Amino acid sequence: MNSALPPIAPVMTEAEFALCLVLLLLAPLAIAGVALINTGLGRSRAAAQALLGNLAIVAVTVIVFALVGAALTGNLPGTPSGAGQTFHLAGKPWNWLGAGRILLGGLSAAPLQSQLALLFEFLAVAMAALIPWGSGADRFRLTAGCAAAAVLAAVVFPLLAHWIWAGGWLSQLGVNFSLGSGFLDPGGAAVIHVLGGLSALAVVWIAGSRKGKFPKEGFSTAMPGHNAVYVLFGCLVAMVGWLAFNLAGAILWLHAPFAALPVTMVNTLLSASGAIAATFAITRIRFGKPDASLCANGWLAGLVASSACAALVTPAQALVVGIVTGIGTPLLVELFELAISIDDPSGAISVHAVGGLWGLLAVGIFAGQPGQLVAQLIGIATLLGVILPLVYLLFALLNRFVPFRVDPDGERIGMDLHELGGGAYPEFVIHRDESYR
Amino acid sequence: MRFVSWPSIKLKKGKRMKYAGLLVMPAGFFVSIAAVVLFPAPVPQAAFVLCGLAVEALGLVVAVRGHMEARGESRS
Repeated sequence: MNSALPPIAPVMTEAEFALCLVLLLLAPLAIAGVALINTGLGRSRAAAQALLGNLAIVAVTVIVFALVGAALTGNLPGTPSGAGQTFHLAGKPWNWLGAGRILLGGLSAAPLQSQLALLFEFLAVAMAALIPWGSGADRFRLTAGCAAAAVLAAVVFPLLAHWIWAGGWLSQLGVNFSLGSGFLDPGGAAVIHVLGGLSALAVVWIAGSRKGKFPKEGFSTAMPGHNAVYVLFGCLVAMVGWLAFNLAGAILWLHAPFAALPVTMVNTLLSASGAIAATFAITRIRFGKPDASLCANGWLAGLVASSACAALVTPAQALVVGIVTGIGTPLLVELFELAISIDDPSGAISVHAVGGLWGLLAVGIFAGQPGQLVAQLIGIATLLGVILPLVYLLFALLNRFVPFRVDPDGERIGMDLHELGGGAYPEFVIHRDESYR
Repeated sequence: MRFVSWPSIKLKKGKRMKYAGLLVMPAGFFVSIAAVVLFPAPVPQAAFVLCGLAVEALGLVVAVRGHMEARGESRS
């Protein structure tokens, strides 16, 4: 095993640096949007806990990533000889782990591009860790949510970020095996959204469903979100953040010229718009009226799919990607709940995991470069075959020490009263839950 | 003489299925990686990668069935 040199990237100009910095100042709006959506899709008696949880998770991930995770991503030159641990197989180098200094050592001396890459990763890890929090709404304990976020920020996210963004083996598939440009994920569809969505699946499997969601007899109980306004406003806020993430990602990871940025922006909007239009039509046909929360899910899934492909496809292709996402998302939400008994209040598994995987596949289909589809398929195989089992195993172990699920009494009185001692809406009478009758 | 033994791990059927499914999924990943290493020609390489994904899909189906089984056990 030896160290590998970091990937060679063109030097960033001052104008690119300034633009990227401004974009990264806007990117936290995506986090704010997802936080609002998570809160709105939960119940009113868990609203304060949900929003506080979002803040706490961002804080925990930022601290843990600074302490440990950043060193493992390998964006900062830490060891004297390079940026990663490599083994050789079939005569090719496989760079599998970053090797920087812990506690952000060497940050101020690093090149501007490395500093911005690290800032991007700070925001990305916070976003990824928020996604499972929404899926565990109404039963996921605050402490457990923070602990799970710490695990993601310390171990799983750095591995994936190194493989895809920091010269790791997935990004080198093009150089080593002539597979297009290697695995491409400029906006974080894999590193942020599929990771978050698969973590959400692990959380739902471990924490179980909300009490009364799947009664002994009959269909599942509908438990609608408590505030559609939060959810829909969150979608609008998230759009601004997503545009920033996709543009900054295109500059940082694809070294896209300024001329390519307007198309990336248009593609992001087209993907989201195509998705919400398709979801609107599907829910209108299926239920007679459009469903607000499913339309929000469709919009978000369109944004997620654009994270993979906005910088790499034409506007027409982005629209197609969005429409396919918008058709699939409401059907998947229903399938997961009714057919395979997955209680996912925020729809994160269908929105982030499946939407992200589809976006990554679309890059392979539409990129038109020989071998790119195979590179994208190998990336998808890595996410499903390595990341999902790894996250489930880590979370199952964590659950032994920090139980994910609140006790039955806590679930009965609501997470706000149980964990915080007060509700989000003290002036309103919170209705008794129908499912406990 | 008293022997210290490992605690026996008793998992319900649903959990066993879920863990079995999750163990199958990395096997699919290794099939995909083997395709890249062993087959330079694009067609067999792509076919082998798809086979790896199919193995992962099978593992996921078993894990999902395990989840449904576990939910059925907890409901009854």
